[in-house]
Amino acid sequence: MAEGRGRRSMWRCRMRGAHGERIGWAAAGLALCSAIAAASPAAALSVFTLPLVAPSAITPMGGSAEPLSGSLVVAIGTLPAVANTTLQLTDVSVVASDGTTFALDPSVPSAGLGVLHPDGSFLFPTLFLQVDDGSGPQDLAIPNVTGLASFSGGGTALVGLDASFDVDSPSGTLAVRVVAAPEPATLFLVAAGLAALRGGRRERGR
Amino acid sequence: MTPNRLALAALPVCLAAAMGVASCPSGGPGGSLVAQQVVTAPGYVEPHTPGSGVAGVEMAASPAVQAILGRAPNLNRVTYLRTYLTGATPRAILILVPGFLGGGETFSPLARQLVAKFNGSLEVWAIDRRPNQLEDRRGSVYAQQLLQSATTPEQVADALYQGVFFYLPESDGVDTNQNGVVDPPTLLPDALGSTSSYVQLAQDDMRFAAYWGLDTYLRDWRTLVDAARAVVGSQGLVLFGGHSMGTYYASVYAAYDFDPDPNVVDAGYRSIDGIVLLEGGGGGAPSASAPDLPTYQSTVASLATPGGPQVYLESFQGIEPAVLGPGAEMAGLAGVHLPLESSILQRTSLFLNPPFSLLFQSPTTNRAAVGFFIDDDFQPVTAFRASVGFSDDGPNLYVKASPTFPAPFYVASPNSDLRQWKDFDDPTLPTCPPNTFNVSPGCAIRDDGPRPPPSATPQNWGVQREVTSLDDVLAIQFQQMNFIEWYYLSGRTSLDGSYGVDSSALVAQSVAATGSEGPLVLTQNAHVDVPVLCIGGSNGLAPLESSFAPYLASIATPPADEEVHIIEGYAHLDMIAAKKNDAVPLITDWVTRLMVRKLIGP
Repeated sequence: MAEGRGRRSMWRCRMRGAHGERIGWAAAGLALCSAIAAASPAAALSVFTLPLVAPSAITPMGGSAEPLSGSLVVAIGTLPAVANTTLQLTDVSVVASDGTTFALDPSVPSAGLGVLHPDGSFLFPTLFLQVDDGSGPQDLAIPNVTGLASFSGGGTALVGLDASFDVDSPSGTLAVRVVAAPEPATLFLVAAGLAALRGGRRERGR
Repeated sequence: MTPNRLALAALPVCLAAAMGVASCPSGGPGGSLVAQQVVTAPGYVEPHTPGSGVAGVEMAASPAVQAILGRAPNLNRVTYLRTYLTGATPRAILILVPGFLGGGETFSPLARQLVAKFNGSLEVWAIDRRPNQLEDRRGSVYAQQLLQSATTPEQVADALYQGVFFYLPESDGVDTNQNGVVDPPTLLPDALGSTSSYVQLAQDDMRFAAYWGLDTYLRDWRTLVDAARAVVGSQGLVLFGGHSMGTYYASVYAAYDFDPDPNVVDAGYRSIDGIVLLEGGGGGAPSASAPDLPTYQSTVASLATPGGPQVYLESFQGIEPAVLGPGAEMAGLAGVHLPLESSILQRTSLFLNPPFSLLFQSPTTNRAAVGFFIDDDFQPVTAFRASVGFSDDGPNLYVKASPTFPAPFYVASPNSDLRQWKDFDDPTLPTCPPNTFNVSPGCAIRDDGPRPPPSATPQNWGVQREVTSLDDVLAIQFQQMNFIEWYYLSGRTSLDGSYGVDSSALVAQSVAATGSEGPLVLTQNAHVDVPVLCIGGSNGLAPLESSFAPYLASIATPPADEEVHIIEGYAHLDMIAAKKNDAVPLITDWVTRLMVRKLIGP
C-alpha cells in the first residue's frame, strides 16, 4: 500500500525548514496546511498520528476507570470523505494502567482496516489486536468496532477518533472508551496553520 | 489488588465484546467458544434420486440403502459442518469443498482456527458431498458409545474390537483380538428393524448416482450459498473454495449457469464474493475425450443400468475406500484410546493383505499406525500426506520415486518391539543433513532445494516442515463427517469432469437438439471476475505460482484480484490440518480486505 510519507509526520512537524533553518509560526502553519490541502486529491492516502487522550479508559462495572494511554496511527484513503473510504489503523500502541499492552496483530497486514463514512462514522468489521499482560501476546479480534471521526480543514485533517464498546469478562462488563486526538500543542499548530492559510488566501484575493 | 486491577488482570484471559460474543484470546481460551454443528438441509431435488417423489422417474432405494437409511429415504439432502463462534453473528461465510476421498471433517482444524481468528465474524461451512450420507457408521458409533462407559483397558479394547468386528470381521488366519478363536461379526440394529453387520453398498445399490454429477452437486451447493447469503446479507461475504480436488469443484461452481433457459444466465460466480483455492489449481480446459451429447447421454444411461460401469470409486491403489473409510474411523479411535498398544488394525484383514501388508512391515502402536499412514515421509500418495512427525526407532527402507509413486517414501521395518511415533513438535526429529535421506533412518525434514521461478513447471522445493498434530488427525477420523469419503463418485462426475470448466460445446449441441441447455452448463468460466485467493504448499501438489496459472488465465478476474501464496514446507494436507496454520493469516487478511471493499461499495 502506498503511503503519503510527507504527511505521515504531519503531527510531528518541527519548527524547522527543509534545511533545518528556524522558520516562523505562520510559515510553519502554512506548510502544515499546504500538506493538509494536498491530501485532498482522490486516491491519496492521508496518515495521522493521534495520541490517546482522556477519557480513554477501561471501566469495570461499578468500578473506577483504568486510563488507557498510547497512540494510534491512522491512514485514510481519500479526504475529504465525500464517499465511503478506507480508514486503517496502521499502528496501535496502547497501554492500560496495569501495564497490559494492545497492538495490531502483526500476522494480518489488514488488521486495522475499516471503512469511513462521509458523516464521520467508521466501522472496523473486525479489529485484529494482540493483547499482552506480560505473559506473551494473545489474539484479540473485536468484531464490529464503531465510532466517530472528526475533521477540520474542510474535512481534510483528522482531529479525533472516538470509539466505545463494552467488554464482558468473568469479573463483569468492562466499558472500553478510546478517544484519540491531537495534543493541545499540535491542535494549536493546526489552528495556526489554518489561520495562516486563510490569511494567505485573503492576501491573494486582493 | 484493587477490583479494577482484578478486572484488568482478567482481560487477557477471557473477554467478550459487546457486539456479539467475542473473547480474549479470540475464540475463547483454547478456542473453547468455537462450536461445530452438522447441518442437514434439503438439497437439490434430483428427480431420479430416491425420495424425489417424481413419479415414473424416481429410482427405488435398494434393500441395502434402506438398511442404512430406512424404508423411504430422501437422498436429496445437503450436509455441511458449520464451524462458528457461539453467539456471534458472521459477516462472512466460507464454504469449502473437500478434496479427493475427503470428508467434510478434513477442514476442522483450519475451520476452527479461522473462526477463532475472526472471533466469530467468519463462519466456515465444510461440505460433505451427498454420498457421505450412505456411509454405514453404526460400528463406529457403537464403539464410541461403549468407550464412553469403558473404565478399564480391557473394556476399552473390547469396545474397539466390537467396532472393528462390525467392519472387519475375523476369519481363518485373522485373529484380531488374539484370543485363539474366530469371533463372530458384530451385529447391530439397522434401519429396517433387523440386525446386521456392516452394509457395504455395491455399485448396483447406487445406480441413482448416475444422476449425481456436477449439476446435482452444484445445485446442492447453490442452496448453501443462498442460505449463507441470507445470513450475511448483501453487505457480507459469501466465499466459495476447496482443497485439492475441491478446488476443481469451486471453479466449476463459479463457472456454472444455474438457469436452464438458454436466454437467461444465472452465473455461479455472481452469487459469491470470492474463490479460495487451497493446494489445488482449480479447473482446466476440456479434455480431448469430452464426448458429444449422444455419447454423454448413452454413458449416463449405462451408468444407471444395473451391471453398468462404476458410479463410485471401488478401488484406489488396491484399496477399497468403502473399507478404508471405516478402517480409518476405527484406527482413529484406537489411536486416541489405546495409543501405545499394539495396532488393532494391523491385525485385521485390511492390513494383513496387500497393499497395506507391503507398506506396514513392522508392528506398530495404534497411534503410530495412523502416523505411518498419513505422514509425508511414509505415505506413498502425495495427496494423502501431512507432516505429522517421524519414526526413527527402527530401520526405514527408502523407496525411490517411480511412475506409480512419483515421490519417494520410507517403509518402516521391524525393530524388536512396536514402532513408535514422534510428534511434529518433537525436538529430536531427524533432519537431512546431517542424516542422509536415502540412508536409514532417513529424515523428517529434508531440504528440497531453492525455490524455482514462479513460471517453472510445478515441483517441490524448500525445507520441509513438521506442522500437523497427529492428535488432530486422529480426532477427525471418527466424527460424523469423518476423514474419508467412503463412496467417492467416479462415474458421472468423471464424465462431467472431462469438460473441465467449459462445456459450451455440449450446451450448444443440447440447445440445437432440444432447446434446453442440457445436463451440464459450464458456460461462464471466461466471465468469472471475482477475487481469487490461491495458497499452495511447496511440499504439496500446488508448489508454485504456475500451479494456479492455467486457471487464473482462463477467467476474467483482474490480475490485481488474483493472489497466490506458496507456504514453504507444507505438504498437501498440512494446508487444512496444520496446528498453527500459516494459511490462516493469509485467508484472514484477504477476507478482511474483501469485507472492507464491499462495505465501501462500488
